[in-house]
Amino acid sequence: MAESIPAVLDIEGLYQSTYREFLRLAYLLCGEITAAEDCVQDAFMRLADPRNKLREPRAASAYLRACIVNRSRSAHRRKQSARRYLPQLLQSDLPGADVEVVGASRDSALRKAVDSLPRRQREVIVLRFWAGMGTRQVAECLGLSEGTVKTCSHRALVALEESMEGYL
Amino acid sequence: MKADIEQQLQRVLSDSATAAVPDSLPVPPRADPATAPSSLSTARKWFVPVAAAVVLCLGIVVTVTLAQNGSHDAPGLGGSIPTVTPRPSDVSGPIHWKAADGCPKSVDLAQVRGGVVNQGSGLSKQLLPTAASPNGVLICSYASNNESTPITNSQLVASTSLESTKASELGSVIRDISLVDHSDGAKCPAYSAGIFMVLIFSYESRPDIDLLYRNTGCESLSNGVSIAYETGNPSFYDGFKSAFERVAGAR
Repeated sequence: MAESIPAVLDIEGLYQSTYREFLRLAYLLCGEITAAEDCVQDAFMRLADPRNKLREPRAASAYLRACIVNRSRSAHRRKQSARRYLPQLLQSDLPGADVEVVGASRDSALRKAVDSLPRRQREVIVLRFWAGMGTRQVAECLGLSEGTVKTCSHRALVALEESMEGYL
Repeated sequence: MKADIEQQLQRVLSDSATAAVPDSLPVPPRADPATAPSSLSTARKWFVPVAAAVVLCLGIVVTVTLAQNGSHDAPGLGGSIPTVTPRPSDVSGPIHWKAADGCPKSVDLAQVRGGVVNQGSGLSKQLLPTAASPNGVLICSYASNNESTPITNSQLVASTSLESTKASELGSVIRDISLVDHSDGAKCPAYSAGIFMVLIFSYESRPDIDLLYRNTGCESLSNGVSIAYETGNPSFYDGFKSAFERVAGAR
């Protein structure tokens, strides 16, 4: 017997039940909570667009995840540009009072190392190790081959190990 | 070791995400186009065509003005706001700097709009010639402080000098950038006026080669004869930008 699938997708129900998880995914990819909120709202706007014919709940989650990944790319790039230029324009070379304490933490160093990975490697790492997705699922989400996902994952782990050598 | 870093990754990512988005975080109302204010839907019959006509007229006026001025800044609006810009198409101009002279402290944006000019051959089919290997590269980064409106010049915010090994590595990746325009009419994202880089490759056997790297909006890299765009071009956004990030520490 075929599995019963609702004829009409309950977008509001899906939003209420998945908002925090999608917001966490977007935060890990963007690195900023306000940009992450925009990513999630934008993804649901696209899902709710009457021109969007997608109405199958399981496909909706995958669709939202892909939207968030795509949307987070420009947000992350803007963040990196701002990081690169703002301190120089403000001519502020004094570190914050908490830099030594926070920077010394191995966990925060690893989080920073993930954030500084190349875009594709960062996406693969977040989807694999935070979302717990398999290689095939990650490949489908990012539109890559499984081989590319494995290569990205391997290179990212090597880079992270290298960046964490001083902390081992 | 690998299992260790994987376990730590799972924990760190999970902790980081949960700290930023705790379970107690209230879910805000969903932004939904279908729940737009009713006044808009009743007004939509006349509002949409009128608004479309106004936007179209403004677009034509701005486009014509930009074409006349050759400027990417928004005239009359101070020039400091990010704008959706036409694709940079200039492929020749007055910038011709030498690595030995260092990076100029300030650059007139009219000069930047003119692009770069280089001497020597081998620049029409790729951004750097295959015949010579660079023995160094000087990277000059510029930004504008937005204090003057309209923005007329940019200040040097960073200069990086790379030795021959890294210069060769970067040069090799730049030679591999496809010059085919894959953008297919894509619209450019907002760009920031006054932000750009000049990469000055130095050679023993030929004059220095300047590349103008417009690193906001529709990113592009030009040698004065040829130009490569980032849009739809993996050899640019993956190949070049990854290598640039690696050897120059920039993104």
